[in-house]
Amino acid sequence: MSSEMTRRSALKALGLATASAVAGGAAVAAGRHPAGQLPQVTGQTPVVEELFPFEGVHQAGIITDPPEAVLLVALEVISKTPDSLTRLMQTLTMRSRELMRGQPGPATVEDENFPPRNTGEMGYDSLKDGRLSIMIGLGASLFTKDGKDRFGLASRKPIALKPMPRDLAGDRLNPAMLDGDILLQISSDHPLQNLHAFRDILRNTKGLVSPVWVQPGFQRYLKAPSGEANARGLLGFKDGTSNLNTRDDALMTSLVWTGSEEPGWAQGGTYVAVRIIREQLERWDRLNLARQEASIGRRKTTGATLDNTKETTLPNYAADPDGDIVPLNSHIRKSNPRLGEESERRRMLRRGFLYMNGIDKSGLLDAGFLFQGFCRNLEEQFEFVKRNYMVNRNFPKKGTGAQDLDEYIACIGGGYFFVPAGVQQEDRFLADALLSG
Amino acid sequence: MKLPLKTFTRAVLATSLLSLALTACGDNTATSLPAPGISTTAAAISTGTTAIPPAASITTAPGMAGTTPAAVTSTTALPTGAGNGVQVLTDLGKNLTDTAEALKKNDLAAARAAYKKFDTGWLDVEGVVQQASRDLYKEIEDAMTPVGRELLRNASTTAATVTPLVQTLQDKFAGAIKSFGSSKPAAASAEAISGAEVVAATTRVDNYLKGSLDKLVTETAAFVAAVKSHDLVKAKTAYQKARYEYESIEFLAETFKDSDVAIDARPDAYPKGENDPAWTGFHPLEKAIWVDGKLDAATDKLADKLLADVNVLHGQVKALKIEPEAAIAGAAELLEEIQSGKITGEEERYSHTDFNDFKGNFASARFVYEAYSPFVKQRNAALDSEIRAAFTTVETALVPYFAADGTAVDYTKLNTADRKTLAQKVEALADSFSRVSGTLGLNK
Repeated sequence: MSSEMTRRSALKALGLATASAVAGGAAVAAGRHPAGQLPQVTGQTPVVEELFPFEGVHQAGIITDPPEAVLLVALEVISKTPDSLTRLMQTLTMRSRELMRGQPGPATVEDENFPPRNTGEMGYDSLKDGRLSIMIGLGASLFTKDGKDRFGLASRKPIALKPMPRDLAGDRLNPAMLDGDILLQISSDHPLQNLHAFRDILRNTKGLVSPVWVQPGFQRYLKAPSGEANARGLLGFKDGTSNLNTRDDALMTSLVWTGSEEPGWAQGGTYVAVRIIREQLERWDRLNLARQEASIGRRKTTGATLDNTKETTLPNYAADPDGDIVPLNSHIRKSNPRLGEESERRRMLRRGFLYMNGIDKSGLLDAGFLFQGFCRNLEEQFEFVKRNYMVNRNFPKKGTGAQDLDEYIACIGGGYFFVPAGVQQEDRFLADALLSG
Repeated sequence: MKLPLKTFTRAVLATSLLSLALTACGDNTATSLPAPGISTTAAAISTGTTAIPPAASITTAPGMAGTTPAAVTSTTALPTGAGNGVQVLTDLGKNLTDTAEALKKNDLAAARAAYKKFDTGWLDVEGVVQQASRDLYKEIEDAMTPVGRELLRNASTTAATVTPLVQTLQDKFAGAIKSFGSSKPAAASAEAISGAEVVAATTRVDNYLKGSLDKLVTETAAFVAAVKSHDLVKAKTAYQKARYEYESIEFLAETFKDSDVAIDARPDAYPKGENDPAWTGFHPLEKAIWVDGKLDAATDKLADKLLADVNVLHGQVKALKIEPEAAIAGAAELLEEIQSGKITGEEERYSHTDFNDFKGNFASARFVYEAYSPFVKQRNAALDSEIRAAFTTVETALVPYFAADGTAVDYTKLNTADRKTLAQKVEALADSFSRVSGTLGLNK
């Protein structure tokens, strides 16, 4: 057997590849993820041997545990024919498979008479860890752009896919950081590994795509008692406390994975709203602690909602109808008003990171939050929450205003994308059902 | 208004101003936030449970800041009538003592019963302990685990096994009581300034702001006249004068969302943007004057509406009574406006007369500070000097950006280095200023 086959069998023997095909790509290391524990609240250091297989019912990078570094990339498809699009998808699939298996470069030895195929920054030994995942999404412009059906796919577009709206109140969108034909969410334990993967993909797709915008991000898992969120944002508050439980398959099916409402090829996938959110940190840091807490709706140190003492206790808004304890325009109450079924069905899976790009022209920090919201239907979930709850000045009551946090943050870029279902066999490639159909 | 549909719910302003504006305009849109700015007592914000002021001592372990917002104390699940937090912990600890005593007598049943009381009682206080010191909380939880495992869930355990485990827990728990008991009482947070001199200062601020408000009406009327005379040159000068007054009282205007939107909205707030017929106020006129270079029947209509809306705002703001906390918070907000505009790009995007706006923000903020400066000086002379120096620095920095006739230099002419220098000076001022409300005890 080639070294490739040996490695794959070895992985299978460890139960990694097979188990994850069932679990939708989740890395399974014995004892690391007791049932019911939320990925962001693991609070445990990863076990050393960790790779995410590319194959799975769903693509990795959605319900697989988020690592500490991400690279979001938007690409424009510059080739014009459907054949080239097929070639692109095949290449992306092939490269992602190999990179996620821990291969930093080609399996065969480099020929010194040619430019090396491995850029080298991740070394030359195959990796046994890193938790690299490369998730590939499709933008609306791939289907129709400026009214033109570029590749003959327009009739098969996922039902809720469209460019991100330009009219969401409070947004200050930079056209240079918006949308794209293809989204890559490359994430791993280290920015260098992400960059290496990105370079590999770019070099292998020259002439097919060109980068449109790129945004690296990071987060850090801190120690936290079990059951509590263990990552914080730049505003200093815990992130992910009420996130959806990725281990709950029924929940994922109802709120994340697309179903029969979509054309066949698009079932078992998901939508993602990517939002690059600039935070005015200097201004935020001048607020009194009480004001910050009122803006978010939680205690800064413990993460408990303002009407509780423990982070894991749910707030009781019915007992606080006028927002005397948890203000009506606080972030948690605006984004998740807990109205029962009506708002529960609008929740989405969040996979956020932080970013820091330097300083702006005024010497102020250009930093903030990279939001990714995975939903079964963007209009029913992300967009509905944004328009009807968060920027609706009369929600939950007349005169509440938009969420208070909007004074300090603004979305400056991102886009809407559709993430196809996973590739389950060696001889298949991403979105092949779309392209061959 | 800077950001479209920006919510202006500063606890201080929204509550103290609105609660007074309620009677004036009958518009019950107050968003109440707990604690600061409510000039009524804590009872107004209590949640219905017994307010537990003495608990303030338990939530202030060493290293934590002084005041605890009332919302915390009223929801902390400490038994009412507790007296003080140390007492509660001591009482709870008695159950541990009982457990130890029972173990000495080899009476496991009694030990279990006593420990169960501790275990249950701990649920009520653990949140508070955790908030005060996460390390201590963790230590106690870690010490409780083996005791629970042995004493409550292992039927065949022995006193010999359990005794040392309980001893460890007792030690940790005693440590907790000690650290709460010895913590300094909530730093006697500054009492709110009061007295005849404060009232006099506030009246001066009130008069100043109301004066600016009156000038806003006059200058807007002059602007409207210039617009309707279809004189572009006159309109440009008049625009700046009116905008200066608006920016001087911006933080008051924002209290009245509808008026603020009608007068100061940017096109981003509207679905059709610049072509949206619902977009009114200063800025469509700004665009017409500086970009389109066209004054006609359409701008006449916009001008009339602007004056009408400004008059409505005038009535609304005139009815407000300014309190010290609102004034200081408002001044802080004005300084943030200067910074925010640069970041969000919400400058005067057609006329580039942003310096004119900044001057209005700045002058107002400075006036407010001057009024309260003596009180800051009394309590923290160093802070007062720092702030006064920072104001002067910024004022000096703004001088080069105005022509001899007082009109602002085009903002786009500002080079990157100068822009940055100015921003950093405003940062320093805003940072120093952010300590004023706490110093004057205005956050209660």
